[in-house]
Amino acid sequence: MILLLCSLLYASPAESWTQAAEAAARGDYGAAATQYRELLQQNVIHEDIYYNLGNSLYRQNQLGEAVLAWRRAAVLAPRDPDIQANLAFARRKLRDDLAPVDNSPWFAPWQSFLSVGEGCYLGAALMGAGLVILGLRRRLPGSPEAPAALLFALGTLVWGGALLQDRRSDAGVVLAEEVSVSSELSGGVELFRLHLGAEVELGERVGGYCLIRLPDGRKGWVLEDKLGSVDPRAPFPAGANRAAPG
Amino acid sequence: MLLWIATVQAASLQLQLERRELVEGQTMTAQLVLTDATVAAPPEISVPDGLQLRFAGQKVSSFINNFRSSQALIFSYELVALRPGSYTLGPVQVESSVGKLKAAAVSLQVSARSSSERLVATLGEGDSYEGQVRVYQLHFETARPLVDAVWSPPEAPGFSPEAAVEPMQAKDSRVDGGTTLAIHDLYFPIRFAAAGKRVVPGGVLQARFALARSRQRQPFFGLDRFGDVQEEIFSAEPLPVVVKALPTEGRPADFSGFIGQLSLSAVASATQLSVGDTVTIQLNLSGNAPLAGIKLPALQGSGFKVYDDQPVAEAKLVAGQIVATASYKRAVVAQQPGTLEIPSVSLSYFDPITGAYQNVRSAPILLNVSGTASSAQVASFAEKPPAATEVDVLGEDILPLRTATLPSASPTGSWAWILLIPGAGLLLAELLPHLRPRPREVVATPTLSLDNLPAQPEARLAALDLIFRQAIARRLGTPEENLRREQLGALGEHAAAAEQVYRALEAARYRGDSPDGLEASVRRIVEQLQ
Repeated sequence: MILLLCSLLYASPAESWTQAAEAAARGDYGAAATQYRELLQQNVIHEDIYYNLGNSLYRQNQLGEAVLAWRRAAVLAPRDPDIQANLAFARRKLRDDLAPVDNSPWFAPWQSFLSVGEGCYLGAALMGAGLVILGLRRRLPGSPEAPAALLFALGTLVWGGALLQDRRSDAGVVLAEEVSVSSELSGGVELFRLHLGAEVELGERVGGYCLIRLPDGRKGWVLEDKLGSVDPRAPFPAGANRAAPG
Repeated sequence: MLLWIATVQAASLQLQLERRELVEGQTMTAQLVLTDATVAAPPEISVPDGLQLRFAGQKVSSFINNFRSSQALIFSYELVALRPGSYTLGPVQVESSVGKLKAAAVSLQVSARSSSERLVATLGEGDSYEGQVRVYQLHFETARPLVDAVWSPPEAPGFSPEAAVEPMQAKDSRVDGGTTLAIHDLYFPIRFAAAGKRVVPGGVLQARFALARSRQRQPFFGLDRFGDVQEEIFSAEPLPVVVKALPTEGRPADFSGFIGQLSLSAVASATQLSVGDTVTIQLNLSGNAPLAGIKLPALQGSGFKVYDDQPVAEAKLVAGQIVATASYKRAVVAQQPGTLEIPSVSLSYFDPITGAYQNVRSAPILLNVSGTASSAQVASFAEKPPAATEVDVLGEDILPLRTATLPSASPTGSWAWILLIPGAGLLLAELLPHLRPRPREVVATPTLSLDNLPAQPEARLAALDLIFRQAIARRLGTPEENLRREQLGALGEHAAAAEQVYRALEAARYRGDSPDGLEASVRRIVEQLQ
């Protein structure tokens, strides 16, 4: 009986996906966005869900949240042309003209083109190939130890870069209409203002404030709840509650 | 500067202003300080007409006063003085966690700004219509040295920045009563999205003025990077606009959607040609609003074929006015001799000045075509027709939703280590033999037997000794090299005989006694021990 009640109360991921598509088809993008959020809460993390959530939010004129959803989709599928097209389209509507933030580690710039999973599997495959060559070195001609070691080292670098990127959430999106960027946590000088959808680098977080950095090097403190992290595993911000003046 | 002075009381609400006097257009910070209480959302403060208040953020401050710890929730607002006058801000009442709290009203005096420094917003003359693009102008004049200026164009529902035309800034100067005034203008095209009464909020100019440097401070190696500046914010007054809907009455069926003034001309690259030749007809549109997306009707007529090319549209601001052009090229292939008339092309648009729909029409073009009709057939097959036109772009939007089956979660790489197993296994198999303790090397020694003893006396004696020792060691189950004389006692009934042979062997090896008879003794004891 309890199981039956639970199944009635909570839709399965497949049902949520279907209901979201149906809601979007009849133009009810609010209901569609709710279903996509539920899927994410059920830990079904996929670029298609973030992509559709971004579309649904965009249709509701929630540009900041839409950019955030597409950015998260791009983290999971960096080479997806649809995601990049929608992001480019949305960026043209933003008030702040900022270069997109690249949060790949400095020693692994290729992570801009690879998802975390792809980086892990590619790195492991390279390391595995190195080990195979070492294991078969007596049966291979010449001296295969050097290329095997090179493959192993390269694989370690690729895998390490992917793992490091997976543990970083240092890019974010402004979710308020306007945020004030100050030189100090409390008080200080108002350095500049950012607007909805602006993409920034996130730094340390202290007492509800976050240190942000722009691609041109400018830094300042912003209220953390005005920002959303592009980490796909982080809870997606509740859009309806974010309309407070900023 | 923190305005709040710690005159601490339990659960209080105070409204504080940075200054009590402002000059028109200036901005200052207002703070609402809530002590030892909390609220669910930033309180709203109603402001009288002539002032503008924007929420700028909140922070929490803790302090200790008279050995008592308190916490203050400080809401900051940006207060802009729009018009001169005496104003009262508040009282403010909030529903807090400890009940209703009330902050006393504060008064504010706004004086008129110097007439030489004013930010003025204009939208040009004439009515505004739904879908029309107009140029919002911010005009600023100052006699003070302006270091830099940051413009903030207006934003509000009902209109949007026109993406097809870049905003323009212009600088100029003029002399007024012996004073040189710097003039700064911003031209910002906006498109009215819907009909109705609108208010275009005032644009904002954030200006930084250089202050007169003290005499003691000299430029550092010629660089005056440390000069003092004063920042001021100027706000233009909001502009009320009535946006009219386009009239439905008299709307032509071929209305292009263009709102503004328009002109159309047509030019041919040649008027004398042969059958099968191609001539380019260029139709040029020019107007005072963006022309991207405006489609011209097709050229229709007999005796020629037409191939469209992609139109090229451009729009820019010139002296604060939109200058837009669009060029449409049509490749016309003559198919029959004689005089061909390329018909005129007409386009309907709405003129906001006259408030009526208008029509522009290009002049027809006459082409003299020589040759015969058959050559057109030859030419049409021999020549490659002009390139096909691209798909007309009518608008832009995001790409559609994905509705395929629910995807499984994206791979996170947590199972990537599996790829290491084959290589690690191979390597382990390769290394294992080197890691195991090596078995002792077995040195092949000639098999000794009493039946084939060496002939040489010393070797014969050594062989007998070895055969004896091996037989004892086998019987006792100990390594041959560890065999000691004391162990012979363990042979039981054969101990005495073994002891006797042992002594005889030692005597022969170390004292040089004759080995005669030893061979028989060794043979006997070996047979007994087997």
